[in-house]
Amino acid sequence: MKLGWKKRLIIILGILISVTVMVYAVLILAMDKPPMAEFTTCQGLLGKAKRANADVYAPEYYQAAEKKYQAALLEWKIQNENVFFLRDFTKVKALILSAIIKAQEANVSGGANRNSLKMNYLKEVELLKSKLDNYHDVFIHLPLKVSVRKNYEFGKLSLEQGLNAFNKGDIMLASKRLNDGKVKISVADKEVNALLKDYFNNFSKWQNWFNTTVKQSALNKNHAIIVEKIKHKAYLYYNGKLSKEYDVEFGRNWIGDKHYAGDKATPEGMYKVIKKKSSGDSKYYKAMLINYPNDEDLALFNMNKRQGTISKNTRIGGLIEIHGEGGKGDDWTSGCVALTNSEIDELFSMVAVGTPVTIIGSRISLAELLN
Amino acid sequence: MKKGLLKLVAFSFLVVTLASCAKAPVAEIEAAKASIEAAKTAGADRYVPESFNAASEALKSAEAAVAEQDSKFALFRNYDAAKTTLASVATLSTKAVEETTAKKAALKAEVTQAVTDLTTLITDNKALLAKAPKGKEGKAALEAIGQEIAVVETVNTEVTAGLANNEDILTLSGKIKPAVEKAKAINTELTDVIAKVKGGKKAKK
Repeated sequence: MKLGWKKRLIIILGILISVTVMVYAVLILAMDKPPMAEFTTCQGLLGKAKRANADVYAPEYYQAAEKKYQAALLEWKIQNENVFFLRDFTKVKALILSAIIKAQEANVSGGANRNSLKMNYLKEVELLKSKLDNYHDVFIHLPLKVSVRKNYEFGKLSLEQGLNAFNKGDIMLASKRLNDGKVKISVADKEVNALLKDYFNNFSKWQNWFNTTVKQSALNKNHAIIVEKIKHKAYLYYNGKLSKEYDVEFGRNWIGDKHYAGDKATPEGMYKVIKKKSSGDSKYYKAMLINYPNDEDLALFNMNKRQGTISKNTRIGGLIEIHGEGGKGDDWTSGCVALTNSEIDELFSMVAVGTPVTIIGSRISLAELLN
Repeated sequence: MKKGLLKLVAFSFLVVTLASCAKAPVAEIEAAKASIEAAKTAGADRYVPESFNAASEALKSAEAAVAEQDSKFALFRNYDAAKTTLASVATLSTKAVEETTAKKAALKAEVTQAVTDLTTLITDNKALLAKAPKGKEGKAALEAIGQEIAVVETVNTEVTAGLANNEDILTLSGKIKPAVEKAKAINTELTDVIAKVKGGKKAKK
């Protein structure tokens, strides 16, 4: 049986089409598959990292992950340009796996960095707060310049702005504000520290006066008054033990020793009560006059005159008292020590002429004071 | 006749085959990218990060879906899902821009109100400070409060200028809020001290 040429042609075409389809089918089945699942995984990880702000807290990992992801996508597109059976997704797979690893690192590292930043931030906040506490508790009486006080207040507000950002979860802004505050406070601290460091050069002398006075009070089984300028306190000791404590006010220039009449400074040294002035005898309710200038004050005054640090016509001054009319909340005296009237009443009743009065800068060292 | 019919069948097969090759949504991808960029320019990444991230993630997903279809044999490509996702990118980006605009407006109103409140508080605090008694901590404490008021006033001036210059409202908001809280605290502190002293004087009488 002989087939016509048309039928033969149809059969040949059919075979050719079938073979082609089969070849295509085999090639399609055998061709390299793109890593779609890995892309989905990576997208999830990158999304998670972004939501956790890993781009901020672990930028190196996050950016590396993004870069690898984009490189993988680009390589995928390049491979798609090739004829399907010539596509090779090996590089795409390597890149997307690398992107997955980086995205995982961004998530882990971002979380860890965020926590460590939080911890560090809170630590720094505590440190700054303690500096501000010093300002309020210790430095508040210091005769500071307006610019120094302003720096402390700016620092305090920056700290509060930072805490506001921190509570909203914006640690980066919180850290920035904290640093702004740190700068302001450290500028102020620098000036205060220089002032105090200079003042505390006399600390060993003060320590010696303090110890001697307390010992004398114990030996004589009697009263002694110790005035601590830095704390604005007067302490009454009896028999070597502290029995009373009063808030006091001084002259405007209380930091440092008294050098001459009218310098508005309160003298520092070991003195004693030489006269008690009852109500009516004193301009300031009641008063206890002390023996300023003592020998040391006179020696220092004469030396200063000789050296020309004070003019030859200057007088040394006197009439330094512990008196009433205090409680003004200001250092207003001409160099005396002022208490409230009710407190001077109490002290006046306990203290006799001859009672030691020791005026010092501080009982504790500068380091202890600042801690 | 038969010859002509055969040609027609072969031609139709070719047309159907070519027509069934779906086209990649290139224009849609470009449009989606542009919408994300527009959202970023509007500040959506800072003001509404959740919405912005949703749009960005959708774009990533769509691009991968397109690449996946591109990898398939031409006859089997289907970009419908990718196109739907790309359309959602545009929707999400637009939403993010709208939310950003609304949030900026709300913040601006908040900051403007805060500036008004703070100005009033500063005036009140200055008046209270003048009336405040000088107790044991008196002058030094009042001086410190005076400095606090001065600092708060500086912030108020900065924020007012910032509003006039259309500065970043998120930054201005972060600056003014603690200043208002500070001013309120000063106000309470001064009011309490004044009331305490008044109360004490009445009791003495």
